[in-house]
Amino acid sequence: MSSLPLARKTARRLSVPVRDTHPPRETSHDEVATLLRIADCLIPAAGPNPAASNAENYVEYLHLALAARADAFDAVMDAVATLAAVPDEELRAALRHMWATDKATFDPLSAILAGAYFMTPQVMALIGYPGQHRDPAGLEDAANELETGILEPVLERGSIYISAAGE
Amino acid sequence: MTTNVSNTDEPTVDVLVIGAGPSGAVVTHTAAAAGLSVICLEQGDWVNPSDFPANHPEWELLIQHDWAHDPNVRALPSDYPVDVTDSDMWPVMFNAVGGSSIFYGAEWPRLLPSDFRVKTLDGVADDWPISYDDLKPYHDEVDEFIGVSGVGGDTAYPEGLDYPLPPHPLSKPGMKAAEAANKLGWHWWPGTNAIPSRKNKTLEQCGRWGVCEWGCPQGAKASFDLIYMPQAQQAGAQVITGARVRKVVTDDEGNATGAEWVDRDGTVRFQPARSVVLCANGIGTPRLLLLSADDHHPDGLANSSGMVGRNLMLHPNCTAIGYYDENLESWRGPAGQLIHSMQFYETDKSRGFVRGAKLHALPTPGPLNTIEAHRELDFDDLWGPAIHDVARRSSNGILWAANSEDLPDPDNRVTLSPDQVDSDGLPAPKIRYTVSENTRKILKFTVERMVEAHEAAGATRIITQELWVDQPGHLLGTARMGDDPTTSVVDSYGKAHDVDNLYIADGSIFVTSGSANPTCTISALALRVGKKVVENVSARKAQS
Repeated sequence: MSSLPLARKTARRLSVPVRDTHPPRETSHDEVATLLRIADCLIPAAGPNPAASNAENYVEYLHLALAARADAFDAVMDAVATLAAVPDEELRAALRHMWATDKATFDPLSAILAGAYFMTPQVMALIGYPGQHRDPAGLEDAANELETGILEPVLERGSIYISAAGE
Repeated sequence: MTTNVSNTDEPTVDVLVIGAGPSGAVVTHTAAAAGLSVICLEQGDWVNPSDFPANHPEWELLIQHDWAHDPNVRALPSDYPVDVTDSDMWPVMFNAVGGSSIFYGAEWPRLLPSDFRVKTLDGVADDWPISYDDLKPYHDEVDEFIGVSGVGGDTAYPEGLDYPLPPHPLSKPGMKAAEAANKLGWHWWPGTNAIPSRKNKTLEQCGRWGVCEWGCPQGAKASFDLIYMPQAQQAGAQVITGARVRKVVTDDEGNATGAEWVDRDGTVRFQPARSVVLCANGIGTPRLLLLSADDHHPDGLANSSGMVGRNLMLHPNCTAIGYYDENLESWRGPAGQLIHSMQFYETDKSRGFVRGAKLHALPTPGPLNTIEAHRELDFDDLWGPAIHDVARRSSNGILWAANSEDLPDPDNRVTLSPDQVDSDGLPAPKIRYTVSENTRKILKFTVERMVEAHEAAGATRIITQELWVDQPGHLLGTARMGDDPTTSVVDSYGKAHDVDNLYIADGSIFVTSGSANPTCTISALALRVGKKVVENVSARKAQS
């Protein structure tokens, strides 16, 4: 009996991107610390909503988000390196400047940080977002809606199409 | 890349289809079911429902790049670059079995009777050589096959329009949009979608995932890799993936003899055929005809009219997203149209433009998508404490969107790029496209109407976009049909005027664009073309 290969060689598929759940390289402790400072500046605590770094499992989802936008990883980490030396009290102004002058960096950076935050189950529950999921309609749902008479005004107006020879 | 053809002894097939999108799948099935030998060449490969981004928590980030609609952003191995350096808009497509139906919303409106007669009615563009009635039986057959869901009797159409499956619920966003339309006295109708409300053949029942335009994780959308193509294979058709066609070959008599294609090892192969049907979309088909230029056809194959690549129409899209105080559960699908409105479809000269737009209301799934929709806000209105409220709005949104009618202009065209090539060294298509003044007026007018709809429904925030430059997936008109060979590329059955056994069955053959989402019409036309191919090939085989 032939044995299964220990590792399959995975060829890149033509029409399907590779899904990687790890960033292109490991992030250092200092880099993560800076990312969390930036995240808290853009997504601070407010009412029942935690600051980004306090959302449960945020760092885990941050790594997933960095992997999902691997295309922007180098630009984002360059920005992290630049912002690492910015004191807390100046960070918001620095981010506002980046927002105004360098959208090519700010947009993916902010998307990654916000994307990670809104992936966390805790925050999804807080904002009432159940995630995309299977939720088939009940058999009578559509009929019940139409039985409210909502379509009646349209039917009462009748046909609106423009006649053309041949139809 | 090797330039010599490596194989010369492949068996000749009756029908060679190039491109496995909606039109390619319909033609492949039609010919195979009639007993003809068929090969379909596709440069991409198969995509499984389990591959799609919405299977994963990071789906909203994946659709920003890796699964982007724009092939220039996504840049998968199956994609070819599209040179948009001289274009107002950036055409999008998906290159795989199923084609761009992988990513479409499956909105399924037919063209209206007036669309076939715009020259007669409005004095612009040209009439089609066929009518609404000519196409209706083909529509009915396609709708029955794929299981279109909708409500019959739409008052925007002549009598006799019905659908095989019951409609999807309007859900809270659709009900709210419909109530506003009633308040304004507009036509609207429950959304017609190529998304089965009940299981149909190889398609699952819709699970209302809400991510139709990024691939259905449930296989519950008429993506043509899941319907028509499987049945074509069962009927004996062969689908060859990873096959990028570089040239349609003709003989001294001017007939097509087959096509040269490049496999993923870079080897050039030749597939001989008795007939060739191009189904490579409104960008890929003219590109291939231009790539097929030779000494006998210096301006490209089937191009004695000079119309190959001209009259590109892209249906410029505009949107108005409204956010409401109440939770509309707007993460729920289908998306897919919940309702559509043809109120502003036809010409009303008092508006200052001709023709119009088709409007549709959809849900707004995803908190990050909602944040992205708010990017134009000032920094402090989005980034900071405000972000929590913005994200909550994702469940409270309604997206009104519209396709505007895009009249043909010969200067809007596809040519071959002088400096961009694909991974096989073939010239990329170059797009030259300018949004017309008439279209800009339609877009402005339509956005104003969609804002009215939101205001009538009580929206508390409305975000408008008058032109989506990076979303035109409706690729039309670049090898138009017509009775006159001097002004058109193919006849009304898609047969090239210049090449007796070469056909085109995709959106290239549209004469005008209408403003209805076109895959419905593309599929009906493809069925009509496919049946004519079967008739002609069978007759020739009987004679020989």
